[in-house]
This record gives sequence, C-alpha cells and structure tokens, in this order.
Amino acid sequence: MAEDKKTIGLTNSNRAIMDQIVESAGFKQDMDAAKFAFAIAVNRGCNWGPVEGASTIWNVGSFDEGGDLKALVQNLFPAVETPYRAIESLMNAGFSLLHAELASNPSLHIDELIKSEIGEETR
Amino acid sequence: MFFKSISLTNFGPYKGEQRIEFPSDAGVSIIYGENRRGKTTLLNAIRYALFGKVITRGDRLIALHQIGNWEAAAEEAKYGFKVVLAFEHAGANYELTREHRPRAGVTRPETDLDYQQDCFLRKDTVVLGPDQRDVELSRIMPETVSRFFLFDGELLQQYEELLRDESEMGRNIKVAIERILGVPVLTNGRADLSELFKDAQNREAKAAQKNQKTQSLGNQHEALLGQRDSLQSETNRLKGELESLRASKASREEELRKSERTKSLLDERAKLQSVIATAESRLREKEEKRSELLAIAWKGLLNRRIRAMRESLEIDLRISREDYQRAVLAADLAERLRKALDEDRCGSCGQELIGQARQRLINTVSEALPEGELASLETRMQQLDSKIVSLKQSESPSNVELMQEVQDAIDERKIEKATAEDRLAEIKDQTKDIDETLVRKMYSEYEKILVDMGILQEGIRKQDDALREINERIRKVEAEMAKFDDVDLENARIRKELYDRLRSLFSVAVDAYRDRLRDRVERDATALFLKLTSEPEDKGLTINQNYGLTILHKDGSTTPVRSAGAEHIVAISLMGALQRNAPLRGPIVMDSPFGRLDREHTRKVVETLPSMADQVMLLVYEAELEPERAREELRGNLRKEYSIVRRSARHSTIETIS
Repeated sequence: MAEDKKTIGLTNSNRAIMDQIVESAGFKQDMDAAKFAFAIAVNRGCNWGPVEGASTIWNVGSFDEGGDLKALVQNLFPAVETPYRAIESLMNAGFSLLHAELASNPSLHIDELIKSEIGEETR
Repeated sequence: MFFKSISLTNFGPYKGEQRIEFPSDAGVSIIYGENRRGKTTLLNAIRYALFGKVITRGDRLIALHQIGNWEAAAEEAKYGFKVVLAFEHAGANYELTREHRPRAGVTRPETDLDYQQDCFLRKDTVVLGPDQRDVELSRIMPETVSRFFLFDGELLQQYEELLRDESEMGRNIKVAIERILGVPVLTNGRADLSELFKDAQNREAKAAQKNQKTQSLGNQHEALLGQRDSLQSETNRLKGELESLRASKASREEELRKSERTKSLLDERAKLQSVIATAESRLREKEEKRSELLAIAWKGLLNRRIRAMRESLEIDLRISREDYQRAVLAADLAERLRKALDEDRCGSCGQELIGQARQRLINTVSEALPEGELASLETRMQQLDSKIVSLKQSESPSNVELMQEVQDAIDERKIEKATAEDRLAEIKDQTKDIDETLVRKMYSEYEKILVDMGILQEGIRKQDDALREINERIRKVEAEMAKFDDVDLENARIRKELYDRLRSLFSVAVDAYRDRLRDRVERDATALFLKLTSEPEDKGLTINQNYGLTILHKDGSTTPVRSAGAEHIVAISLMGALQRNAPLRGPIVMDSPFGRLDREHTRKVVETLPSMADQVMLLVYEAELEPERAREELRGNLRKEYSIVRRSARHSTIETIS
C-alpha cells in the first residue's frame, strides 16, 4: 500500500486562482476555498491522479482536523488507497475548473455557481 | 418729517461728497442702482444719521469702522465718514450732522474705538445741546418705529411672526406697532397714575400716624407699603431681566432661523454617520455569517453524491442482513442434523437413520455454510454500518436559500451604506466652512435662555402672588383706618381713591383704544390689500391680538399658509394701515421692495405708494421696476429719478436722471 501525503498543496497557477476566489467570493480561509474546489471536482466526476508541481500549503492535520474529509473520500471512493493524494489532486482539478468557469463568465457569482452545481432537486 | 436733502461723505461706496436734493412736493422718488452699487448703503446712511447705527440685511449691526470708503482710505489715507440729513418737521427746518472721524493721534484706525463720533442737530438757526438733540430726535423719529419708515423689502416676511404667539420677534414688532400707533400715551398715563396712587397711599399712612387713635394702623400701613415696594421693586427687577432675556431670545431666534438649514444639515450629517456605522456593523455580521456558510458549502455540493452512496450502502446492508439471517437459520438446521447423525436417530420423529436417508443427511450437512462465513458476514455488516454512519455525518444541507438571504441582506446594507455615504459627501461639502461648535453653542445658549426665562417667569408668578397677598392686607388696614373720623385721613383717602379710579379708567381706555386701533388697522389694511391682490377670491384680511394679519377667503375661511409674494403684499398692507393710523408721520424709504412680486402685484403696489405717505423713496434695480413702467404707473406722482453710477468697485456716484 502506497504511503499517503502528510502535506498537501496547489500548483502555482492554482494557488493564484485560489487567492482570487478567496478575495472575490469572500471565503474566510483559503482552505475553505480549497475544499470548495475539491467538491466541484468530485461533483463533476473528475478523476484523481498525480499532481505535478504542487507546492505545500497545508498540513493534512490542520486541513482535515477530525479526519472527516479523509473518511468521506474513502467512503465515496473505496478504491482510493491514499485519500490525501486524491484530495490534493481533486482540489487542483477543481481550481482549474473554477478558473475556466470564471474565464467564460467573469460576472459569475459564487451563489449562482453553487445553485447550478447542486441543481434544483437537492435544495 | 419730510426729507429735504442728504449729503454723504466717504460713506460706503460714496467716495468724496455726494448730495441728493429731494423734491419738495409730496410724491415718489426713485433711486435706481444695480446690485452692489450702494442702494442699501443709502438706506443705512439715513439710519446712521438718525440713530448712529448701520445694519445688515439680516438686521445685524455692522462695525462702523468698516463703513468708510475703502478707496479714500487706501489711496488718500482718508478715514471716517459723514452724513448730513436736512429735513422739515412741524414747520421747523432741521439739519442733522453725524460724523465718525479718527481720534486724535490715530493715523490708521482699525476698530470702532479708534473713532470719535460727533452729532449736531440744528433747528432753524439754533444748534441744540446734546440732551435736547436726543429728546427732539426721539420725538420726531423714535428708533423703535423706524422699521415702518426705513425698511428692507427682503425683511418684510418678518411680519408673519405676528401670527405666532410664542415668537419674540413678533412680540417686539407688536411693541413697535403699538408705539407707532400711540398706545404708549395711554400706557404711560396708566403707569403715572399707578405711581400717584402709591404716593397717595403713603400720604394716607402719614396722616394716620399723626392721629393717636390711628397711629398704630398708620405704622402698620406704612410697613406694609414698604414691604410692597420692596416686592414690587424685586418684581420689576425680575421683569427687567425677563425683558432682557426676551430680547436675547428674539435675536437668537433670528440667528437660529438663519442657521436652521445649517443645523438641519449638521443633524443630518450626524444621523448619516450613525446610519453608516450601523450599516457597516450589520454588513460585518452578515459577511461573517456568509463566510461561515461558505466554509461548509463544499459539503452541500457533495450532498447528492454522499446521499446516493449512503442509500446504496443501506441496500447492501439490508441484503447482507438477509443473507446473515438465512445463514443463521441454515447453521442451526445443520447443527440439528449433525446431532441426528451422531445419534443415528431423527430428532423430530425418532426413527433410526439408515441407508439412503442417512446418506442424504450427510450430503445436506456437508453443503451447509462453513462457520467462518457467518463471521465474515457479520464483519461486512459492521463495515457497512460504520460507513453509513460516517456518510450520514458528512451529509449537509446546501444552505443555498440561507446564503441567498444573507447575500440579499449584504446587498441591501451595501446600498444603504453607499446611499448614506453619497449624501454625507454632499453634506460635508456644503458644511465644510461651517464652525459646527459655534452652531451647536448657539442652540445650547438658546435652550439655556428658555430655561432661564422659565425660572424667571416662575419667580415673577410667586412675586405677583405675594404682591396680591400684601395688597389685600393693605386694603384691610385701609378699611380699618377708614372707620376713624379724621379730616386729614379723609382727604388722603379721597385723593387715593381718585387716583385709583383714574388708573382703572386708563386701564379700560388702553384696552378700548387697542381694540379700536386693531379694528382700524384691519379695516385700512383690508382696503389696501384688496387694491394690491390679484386674487379675485380674496375677501380681505383679519387681524389677531398681535396685529398679525391673515388672508380671508370669500367663503369665510382663512388661508393658513401663504406664498412669499402674498406675505409681501400683506406686510405692505399692514405698513400702509399703520401709516394711516399713526400720529407720527414720516417718509417711507423702501429698499428692493418688489423682489418677490410679479409684474401685476408690482404695478398695484407702485400705484398705491403715493397714498401710503407724503414722501416715498424707492431704492430699486431696473429689472425690479423698469423706469418706463414706473413713469407710466406713477404718472404725476413721480417726483424725481436718480441713478447710482459705478465708477469703480468701491466708488459710486448718485446722479439725477433728467
């Protein structure tokens, strides 16, 4: 079994995107935005894989204090052996998706994005 | 009083000596001058000659050292100014000279204290002494009534204050009106009789003291009269203080009226600052709430997937549980069969197991689940259960509606804040040069005056109660003294009773005279008003106790609110009515009287002017009253026209229009 990561982070470009989103959407902490990006990637069915050029930002202990996120990943994706690697991969993928989304619709508000992501039936 | 000429030397923009000879016949003279040429200064020159004062349009005194001509001071180092006013009154010719000149040793005066004032009044060929001069001037034109002769058209709206009982300005104007109408003749008479009555009471006390029988009563009477005089003196002192406070209140009211807009701006500024602070605080709260919701928004995004996974696992768990139940039953059956095989006898029917039946049982038992399988099923169920619990914990509502609510509230607060900030910026711009402390101080001083007046009024009420009580005691002592037969005492009492009855008569006369005057003023003002108004539905004017006039509609109702123009012609009507009923007559000098009137009303006022006074002088600018129209409307009543001509910004001359 491969060893999981103790720290996770973002590529430089994704970090810039995160800073931009934290500022524009009003996230209190950057890790809130990172989890949001992770959820977007999961929601859109992205696959996880190795991340090239990610710089360390968070210790997994502080990022996922109670281990809930790790448990969720393991529940949702039983095949995942290294949940934090998957999380890192998915949140990087999520920021890329958000970047593309914002590039095509600069006036997009985060509330509208959430609405469109969850769809009417789950409200 | 009839003006004959006026001569101004270095007074305001009138550099050097300027002289106007007024026409000797009754009628209207017009002095034309554009803004800033010196119309109001000319009015002030007359006021200065008569009263030694110069006032602004806002009724404030101007420091006299500012009056001298600036060019004469700057170019020729000539300071000071002089006005000589020649007039006729009661068949005598007067020449009033008033001059301000630098004190000896002062080369460059900077304040009023650097000047000395000289004032001479020549009556025919005799120059009057200072006391006689003052008495004569106050008889010919008392300063208190000057507002009805020398007036600024822009201040005519002050007469609306007569409609407000609580207004000090209204009260002061009422006093001035009664003064011009001659009411003080009677009120002074009443006051004199009160003094004579008191004097008679003292004589009565002295007479009583001379008789042994009444000596004690006389002493008592004298002591009570002394106490009453002390009380009266204290009451008068309090009333004097109250009067002085009333004067301060009136002047404060005028200042407050002018600064009302400023005060409301400052109040609005403070209110807006509070609105902004509250909006900012609420904005912070809502943004905090929004951040909290955003921090868990990721869970909401995954909720559908988590729920689907949980539901799928719950199905697996149900199936596993069913498998497990079946496995448990199967294990139990296999156990019983094994026991039967061990005993070679059926546990149910007790028959011996032999041959084919035994073999079938051996086969069935061998097909039963191995014991480890049951444990494996149990483990799987536990795993599923644990996953389901964990997933349930991860499930979270999207909060999208709550987020929308919070966002709406944030937007609303932002709009509220931005609107308030815009308005605040406007107000800050408008109030940037205002000394807020000064305005607030003005208001707090006004409040203090009101409080002090309340205290004084209460004090006066108590003094009046005490006076009533002591007068009652005096009356009782006097009734006791009247029981004794004494000629001197009898004479003193008769004298006292005579003064008392006369005093009562004057009191009744004052009220009757006032009522009659009000009726006359109402009648004459109505007649004048109906000539001036262009509104056919106006029926007339109705007067109140303070001589305030209200427009009466033909249906009998009054007009509670009137326009600036209507206010103007009502005030002119009052002026005209006062002139007609006043024992005192004099020239009317009006500064910019038509600024608020339309052409029709201007025409009507112009046509009425000759009937208001023998001598009328108008200080106007040409757009306010076009010379051609004035000539046409006044016809034979227009006596002379003058023009104030600009020589420089600080130098004007007066020329006669031929």
